Amino acid sequence: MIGTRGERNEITPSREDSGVRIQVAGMNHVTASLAVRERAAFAPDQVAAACRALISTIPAQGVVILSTCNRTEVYVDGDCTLGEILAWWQDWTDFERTQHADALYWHQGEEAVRHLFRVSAGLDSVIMGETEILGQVKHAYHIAQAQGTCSGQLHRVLQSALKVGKRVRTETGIGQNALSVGHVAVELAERVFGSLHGLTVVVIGAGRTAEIVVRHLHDAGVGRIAVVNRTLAHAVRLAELVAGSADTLDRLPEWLAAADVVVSAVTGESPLITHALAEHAFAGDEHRPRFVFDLSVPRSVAPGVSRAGYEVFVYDLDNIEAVVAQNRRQRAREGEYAERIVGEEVERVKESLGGLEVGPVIRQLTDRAEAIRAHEMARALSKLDHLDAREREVLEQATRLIIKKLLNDPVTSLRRWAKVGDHGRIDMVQELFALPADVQSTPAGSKIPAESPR
Amino acid sequence: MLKALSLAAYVAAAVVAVWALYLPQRGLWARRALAAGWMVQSWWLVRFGQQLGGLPVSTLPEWLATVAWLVAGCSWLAMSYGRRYRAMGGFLLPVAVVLWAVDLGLLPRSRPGAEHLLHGGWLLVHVGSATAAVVVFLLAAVVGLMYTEKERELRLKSVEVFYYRLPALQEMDRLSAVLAAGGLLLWLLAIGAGWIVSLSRSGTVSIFNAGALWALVTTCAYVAYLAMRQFAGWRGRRAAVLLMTLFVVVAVNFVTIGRH
Repeated sequence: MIGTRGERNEITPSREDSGVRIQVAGMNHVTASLAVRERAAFAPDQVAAACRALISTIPAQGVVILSTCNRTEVYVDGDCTLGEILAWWQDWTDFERTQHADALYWHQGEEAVRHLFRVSAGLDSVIMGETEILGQVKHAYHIAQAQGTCSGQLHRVLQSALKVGKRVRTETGIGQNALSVGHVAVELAERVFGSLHGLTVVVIGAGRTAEIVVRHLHDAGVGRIAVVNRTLAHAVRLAELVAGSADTLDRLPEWLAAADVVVSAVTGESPLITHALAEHAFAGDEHRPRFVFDLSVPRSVAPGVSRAGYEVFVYDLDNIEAVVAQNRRQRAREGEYAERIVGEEVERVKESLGGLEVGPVIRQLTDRAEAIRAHEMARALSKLDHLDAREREVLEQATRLIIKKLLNDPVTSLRRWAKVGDHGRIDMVQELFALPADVQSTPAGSKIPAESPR
Repeated sequence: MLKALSLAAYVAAAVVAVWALYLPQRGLWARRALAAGWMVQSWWLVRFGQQLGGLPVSTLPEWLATVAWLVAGCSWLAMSYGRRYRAMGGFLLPVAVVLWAVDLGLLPRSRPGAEHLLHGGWLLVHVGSATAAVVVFLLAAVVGLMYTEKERELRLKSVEVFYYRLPALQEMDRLSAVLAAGGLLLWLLAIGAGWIVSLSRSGTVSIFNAGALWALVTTCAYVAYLAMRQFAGWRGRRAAVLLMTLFVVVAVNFVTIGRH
């Protein structure tokens, strides 16, 4: 986070040894309140114009703006200062940079790339592992591409970010395992029954808790839902919401006998599902698995029901909370693995961008050598008129081979130095061979749109 | 050397596969080690078969080697293609390791020779389908074991590993029944082929020998299991435990009096 106000705004990004020029300034749900995020956000229909405006205001090669309800981030490829970015941001939105400096964070180079990768992976989201953010990153990238503000380096980094997001979701279970009571009820039922299609769910009670759980089960596609309640009118109201049927408590034994999943969320002093009732309802079908969610306080399912030799799993609120806690731990464990994937991909991008930096130098070096060779060959051949075409070709090939072998070791070294970010030695080679110093890195295969406003 | 190499690879694969129950990302390493071990064992089996001049299934050690190879192959298939059954490797591979390790202790006593050769198509059908049936029964028992482990976690309300890694209970319940039924069909084919072989050799079929009686007991046990499922509604834990017990019957049959 940017802790001081004003004076750090003029900080100039240091060009990292890795060759990564990206920097990101932004705020998210952790650093900023909703009130601040609202002021700093870009409306969806403003993002494209904002990208164009920013790149024409600051000295940058590329700009991407990611603006969602939980974060607003400005990614810049260039040597501009943070102050320049924030000044433009303040002009564009209602955001007061001096008042909300504490809400901002700023990352440069490798750390900016790591931040973007963590965002894409869902590691920086409110609900860890959520998938929506990946689509939002992709959308931001497409807008920048369409506006011609996505530089070669941003293009490479965003492509990698999308890859990281996909890798994390395929290789880890970070987005799996429910974290709310309603979702856990669905998850537990699925762990027992597999597909929920064709299952009969009986809901006892028609209050708010019952409604939340039954809505989740309905969304998950259960076959049939029956709401059983003391007051039939309330049961009908809930049943209508989920296209189910309604009944009174008098017919509970029949419904219990038909149920695969029972959701009990009623208030009462004594248990509603007693051992005797369960025995009566499950008679003759003891081996059929059933799941009972007892969401009532005090509990409405007698303790003996789950121990009576039936294939019945009874989970009360404490048990469900324990599953939620375990799911949270599982997600955290998967999160650790996701962080490793992010680390691997950051290294890969660093390597790739480092390689990009040295590409033009190598090209200039080889071009220069080839120019000298061609010139000297032409002079020599002009004095050797007696040579036939085949002999000339042999000479051409021999000199090309000399150049190739001579440059092989320097080129290998240049690539190695680029990987480790040893720009000093690369500069020295440029100086030694009198190569132009203003070589711009251009990634192979990536496009810097010609219609860029800059 | 090849045998030791493949056993080492299987041991490594089994250890990593069990580890992968806790850290699924390790599954790739388990698959790689398993693939390496399986290829080495396949190569050894081919060479051994060439020395024998036939399939290496005539003696108990040869047969165990083939079963271990089949079990390892099934593990690889489950871990590579069984989207919800990747964790099965953690259950199956230790079995393959035990079979192969026990076999390595027995194999030196088996020497290639003419007496090992299986002659006749029906005898091959008999041995082949019986071997396949045993492997399928083993798979059914392993799925039953997976069921009981996951069910135990759910019943104790202590979801740790199997809750996350294994398929839904009902899915495993159905799969184990399908495997048991499939195994029974192969088993009946083996018995039928055995009768034909017996008739062609001695002109009679006797059920009053230990092998035939055990085969009958095994058949009756699996038929009873399927009947209980169908008509008495046996499902879940009880059915899974029964399947595991039945496999012990099959194993005893083969290890003690299977060779006849």
